[in-house]
Amino acid sequence: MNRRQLLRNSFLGAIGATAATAREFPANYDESKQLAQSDWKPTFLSDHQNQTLIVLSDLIIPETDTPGAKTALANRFIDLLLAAETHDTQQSFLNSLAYLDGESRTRFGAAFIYIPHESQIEFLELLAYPDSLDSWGEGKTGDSTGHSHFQKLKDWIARAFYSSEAGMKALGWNGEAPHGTPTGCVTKQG
Amino acid sequence: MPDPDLSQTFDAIVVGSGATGGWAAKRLSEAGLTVALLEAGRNVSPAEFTEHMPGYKLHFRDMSPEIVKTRPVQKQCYACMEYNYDWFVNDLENPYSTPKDKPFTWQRLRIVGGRTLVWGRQSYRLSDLDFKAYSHDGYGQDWPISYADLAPFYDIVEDYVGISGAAESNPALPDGHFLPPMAMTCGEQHMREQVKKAFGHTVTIGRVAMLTKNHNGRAACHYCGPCERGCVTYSYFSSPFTTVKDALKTGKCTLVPNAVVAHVNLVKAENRAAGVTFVDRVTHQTREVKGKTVILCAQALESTRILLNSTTREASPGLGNSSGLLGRGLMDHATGGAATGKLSGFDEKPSVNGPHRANGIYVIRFRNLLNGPQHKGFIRGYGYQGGAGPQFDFGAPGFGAGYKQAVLRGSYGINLGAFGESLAYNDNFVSIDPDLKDAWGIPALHVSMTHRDNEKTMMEDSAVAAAEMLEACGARNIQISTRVAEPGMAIHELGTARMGTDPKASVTNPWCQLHDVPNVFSMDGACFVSSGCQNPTLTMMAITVRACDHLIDRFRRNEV
Repeated sequence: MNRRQLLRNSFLGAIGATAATAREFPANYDESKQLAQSDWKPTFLSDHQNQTLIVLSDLIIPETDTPGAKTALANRFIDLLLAAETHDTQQSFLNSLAYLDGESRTRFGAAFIYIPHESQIEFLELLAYPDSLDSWGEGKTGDSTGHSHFQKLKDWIARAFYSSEAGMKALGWNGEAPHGTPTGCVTKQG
Repeated sequence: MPDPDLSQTFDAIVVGSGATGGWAAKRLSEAGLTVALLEAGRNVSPAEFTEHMPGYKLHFRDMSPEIVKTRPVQKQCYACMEYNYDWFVNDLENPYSTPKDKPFTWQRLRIVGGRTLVWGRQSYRLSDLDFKAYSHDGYGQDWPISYADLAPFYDIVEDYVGISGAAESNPALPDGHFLPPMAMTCGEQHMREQVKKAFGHTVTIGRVAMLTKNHNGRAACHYCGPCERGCVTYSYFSSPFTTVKDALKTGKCTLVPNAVVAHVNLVKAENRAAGVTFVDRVTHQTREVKGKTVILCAQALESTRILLNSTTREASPGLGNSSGLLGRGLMDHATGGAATGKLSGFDEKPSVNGPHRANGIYVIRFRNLLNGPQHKGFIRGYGYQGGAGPQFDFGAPGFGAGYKQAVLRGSYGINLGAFGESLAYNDNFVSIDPDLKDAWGIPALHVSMTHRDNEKTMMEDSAVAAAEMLEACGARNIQISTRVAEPGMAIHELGTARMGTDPKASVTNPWCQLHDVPNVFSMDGACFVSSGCQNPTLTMMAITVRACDHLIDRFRRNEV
């Protein structure tokens, strides 16, 4: 953080500074309800970017015996978080999303959301592992650009999903505050 | 809350309500002395605790990009979260400077209870290997006290606080009065056996200020996990709900929140404190409190800042600085040497439902012991904190249903991270920055500290030794880190007003009493002569109790 940033922040900070009272959370405090509102619109992403993110999140974390990222509204949380993020973080996310569309046009002739489901899967399989692009078409040795973009988008989606109520339930959450007593090593070493 | 009555002259003014200030207030008021307990922050209420609130209910699910705007330094602490960031200081209101090439991370809370609300709770005794380190290797100074002097006070503190742990009969890490130890995972049990077999080193369960059974009116831990967000059952030790509560119960202690202490006031023409001046955090009004004694427990750097900001007739700046050593010898444990890996063959599965044991394992110092081999590259030693257990594998490769399954299946991680002794260098120091003031107009600190070759070599050794231990456990994918973290990151700031018997070579006597101004005391981590490698809070509390008992004695003999 440089002096200029600190100076800029000091104006922001002045607003909330010297709070005399505590930040309290009432029993019904639940900000996630806002994301579920029926008239929700993206505040940071464009409609096309938002649609792309919905399709991508559904492919990366689909509904199985538990709900997936689309049902969990991962796109909406990502939009909320991005809107508050730094310009660099925002730009880096958008770059990865744009890469997806660009490569999709080159390889499949249309933006990602317009190519068939099978092509979407085929495309993601090429991106999902560091070296898979090398064996595709003419292949460039050691180029993992596609994988890096995929990885970035996947990280955002996984964070948004597993931090949601649905995501916690997919991990086996029973809805209660965690508790218990460590029992120690009662299971046998396999 | 009505304004506290500050018209009387208190027997003691205690500055700071955290681990040491809480003990000072308790000990002195229970002995019948009148105490003003001054805290720079506001009061804390259990209504603010959020340890049971799932993250999805928060606006940014604990990923808030906003915190950094007011807390760019505090945010570097793992415990500064969207849940609780307002317990941490606003960095814009609380500036400090460093040399350009010597970054220092100063993480602090201003609230009743201070850092005990969010601390890591690891509690270890020092030994004479630490107190008499100079006699062992010739570097620095010995402490003026020995383990035998402090042992009874460790007992008192442990009996009250409640420390769970296992006795190991290891002279480098004396056993204490323990509550039952927490259970190790299968991987940790395996590590304990393998490390003992391969190297002879001791892996023990973390000794931690968390209750494993009901103790002194507080309930046993229910293992929800995120202690740093508060605890409705008060199962980990935090001062507002223990020591401070006891002090207030006596009717002798007046808690004054929002009191940002600026300096100690002296009786005119005498080397004796009359009290302190503070600025009201909210109204910015300046007020005075009168006291027969002033006891600084504000955190090492803050206490020394108050002394440096206090006027004096001596040549060296600051109160109690005839030795010229006030502010010098700043220490913070070296961290950054670490190894991680994966184990296989254990059946335990990760769970969101708990129990979440907010404690790990501890590897007792094994380098440069009294009768052992001495390392050629560095003096002193380090211990490790770490653990082994199942975790969800969010980083699993691929996508789709297979990825979801892989996350759930999880992986079994194992890790060790070193905490190494930080030597007391006189040119690691704090001073007053003449050009910088905080939001209350109080001159701010300049902090100048670097880790040196001894710490760097030690961290490299710790990373390699950790990797060897993981290897002995059969771990795969072992990765090591050898880079020393920025000073301050251990959040174990110590020194700057070291204790000693020689007024020319120390700032306080063995009872934390300033050599120069006998009714002013520096009773927190500032008095440390050397740092050991153990987490210091337990020792700080024991030193406070010892110093307070000495002071009570002097009050009884009318010597104050």
